[in-house]
Amino acid sequence: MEGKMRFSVEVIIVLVFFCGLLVGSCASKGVAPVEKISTAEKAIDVARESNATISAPLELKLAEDKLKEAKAAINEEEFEKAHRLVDEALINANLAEAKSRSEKAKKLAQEMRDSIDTLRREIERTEKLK
Amino acid sequence: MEKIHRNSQLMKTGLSVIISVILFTIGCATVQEKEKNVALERARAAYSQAQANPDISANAPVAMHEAAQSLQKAEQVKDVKEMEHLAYLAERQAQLAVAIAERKMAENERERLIKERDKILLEARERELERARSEAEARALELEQARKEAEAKAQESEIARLQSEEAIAKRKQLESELEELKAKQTERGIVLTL
Repeated sequence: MEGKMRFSVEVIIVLVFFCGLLVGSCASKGVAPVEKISTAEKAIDVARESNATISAPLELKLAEDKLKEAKAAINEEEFEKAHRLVDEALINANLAEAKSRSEKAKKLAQEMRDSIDTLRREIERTEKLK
Repeated sequence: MEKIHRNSQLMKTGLSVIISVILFTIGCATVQEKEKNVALERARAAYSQAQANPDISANAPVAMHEAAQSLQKAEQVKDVKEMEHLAYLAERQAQLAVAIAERKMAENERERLIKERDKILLEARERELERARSEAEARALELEQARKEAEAKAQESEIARLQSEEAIAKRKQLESELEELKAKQTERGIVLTL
């Protein structure tokens, strides 16, 4: 009778201890930025699809590295650090995409400028012949 | 005597401890201040550079607003790590605003160029049309001229035909008159028997 009682008291103590640990860790370290990680991953994919590997390799690399570091920080349960890193990864991915899209738009504008020059010369030439 | 000496020794130690604590605090503060400046300086520079160009605020207002907010938070926050993080975000957001604005401006420029090209093509086609029209007019004029000439010629030949017909008729009349006069064609000429 007494042994059983002691056993249940021990169990309760252990449970309380673990609960305390859990609450403590949650309170001090916050929550893992799971959603932000997937948002950043998607942003990196979008950047890669927009040709950022060539147009903005530096920003893309920074985004990938920071995402990796953020995941490592989550594994280390350093959630605050992970939040910052994943935010920095996301802004770098967005910047890589924006840079490569702006590069593309500038190229298209230049092509149009060149085609107008060619057209003007062509028209001038044919009109002189007549 | 010894008590006084001990007291002064104690005071000296205490003083040096206080001084070193003060120095340490100042040192930390300056390091922190310097870090704050270095981290924020880049963000401030990137932001003010973007802001100096009115095209960027006009074409990327949201990104500029976000950069301004991050920069403001970075300026106010006490925690060094958080400050550096916010400054980093602000710098990148300012660069993002520049990239977005440049893209939009290039797209607008292309739109304008497409219109310009269409205008050039249209004008060239109109000139081509005008040239074809004037050529056709000249051709029509030539044809008209030729038609008139042909008409005149036809008229001439009609007159000639009429004239020859008249001559034939006259001859026939003369011949019948001769017949009436019972003229005889002989070797010596026409012999009239009166």
